[in-house]
Amino acid sequence: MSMSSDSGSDVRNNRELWNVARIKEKSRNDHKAEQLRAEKEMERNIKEVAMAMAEDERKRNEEIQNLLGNARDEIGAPLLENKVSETTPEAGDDEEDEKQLNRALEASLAPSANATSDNLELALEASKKQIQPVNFSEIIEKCIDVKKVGWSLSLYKTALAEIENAIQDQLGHVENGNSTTVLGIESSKVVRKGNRASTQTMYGRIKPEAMLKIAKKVNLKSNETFLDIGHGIGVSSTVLLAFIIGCNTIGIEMEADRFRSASPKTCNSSMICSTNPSRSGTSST
Amino acid sequence: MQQLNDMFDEPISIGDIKHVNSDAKSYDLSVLTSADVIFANNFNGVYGNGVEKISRSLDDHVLSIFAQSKAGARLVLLDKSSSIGHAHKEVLEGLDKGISSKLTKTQAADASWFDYEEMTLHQPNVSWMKEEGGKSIQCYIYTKRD
Repeated sequence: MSMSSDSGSDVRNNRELWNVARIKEKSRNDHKAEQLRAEKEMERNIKEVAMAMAEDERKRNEEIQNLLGNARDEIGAPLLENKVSETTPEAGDDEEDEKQLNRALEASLAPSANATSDNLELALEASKKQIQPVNFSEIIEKCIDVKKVGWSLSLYKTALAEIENAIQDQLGHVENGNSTTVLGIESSKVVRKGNRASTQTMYGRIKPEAMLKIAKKVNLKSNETFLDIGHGIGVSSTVLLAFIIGCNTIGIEMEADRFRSASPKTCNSSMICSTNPSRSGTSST
Repeated sequence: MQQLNDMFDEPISIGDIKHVNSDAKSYDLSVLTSADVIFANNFNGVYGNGVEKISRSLDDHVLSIFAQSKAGARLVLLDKSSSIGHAHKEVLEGLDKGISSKLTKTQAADASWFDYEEMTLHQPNVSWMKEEGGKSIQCYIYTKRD
């Protein structure tokens, strides 16, 4: 009897053990299936990311080609003289680097029959380092509420075009009389050479949208006067605010080259330049 | 500009722009002190004592112009001035905490000649920082009291 009882107990135990083993096996299988699913999911994600990266790369290459095309069509040679840097102002100019950049850009702008694949690669590399030219219309459009200003959209667009013209007009004399972009001016040796020694002034420009935020914060009104101490090339402060806010602006600059860059062509030799873009003539005192 | 003016009954008002080279001997300091808003991009202390050509730092000159400006004038800096002293609110807070207990509130008001506030400029805001992932920078605004 006792044997039978023991036997029954063994059977129960065996059944329990079997059940446990089955549960464990099921759990292992589930876990494996889960792992498999996760791996497949990860694989799919990696593929998607790789595809997205490839697409980004393709778009970037297209942009670079467009940029090079635009540079050839619109800016031409003056752009080649300008090194564009994404580093801090303290980084200064590296002449050797600049020469290499210029050679690469020249190569890219040369007729395609003369361009080698090496040159093309260099040019692509160089163009990646290049900051996009400043697009005033786009930038200001983003940060000014046209309705608040009280202008019609078409008038606003016209005003922006006028700003761009004025900037070109003010800065055009710098690079051998050729018109160039704001970016071209501020990255040129003329403006940045004050950065060379650590004891001299640094150059870095606050961007137009940031300046407009400041103007809004301090409630700058059209009947007030704005003073920029160390105006640099003046684009983001004095010129911008005179056009957008309509206030009188004064800039003072100790670096003679930067001062000349910011001043109208007619004021090249003068120490103090004054202009009202809404009037027909430009006066200097 | 004619195109702009044609769209309005009255001519569009665009301010005068005046650029002064600080080497010029003839400019009038009163022109500078007449400003309502004074801006100096002195980010990272570049107007500090390291700047060549001058005995006093540019920061000192900026503060000097601000000190001579009219009541209500605003000074905007990208680097906090360490030599301007305490703002009105700071002095009053010090009074409340007993730090400036020897002063009355009226005296405290006289002890400080400006109000102070900060604003954050989120990227993209300056040409030397990347558009994507660039850091925000602080802007320090001082307002001259009556």
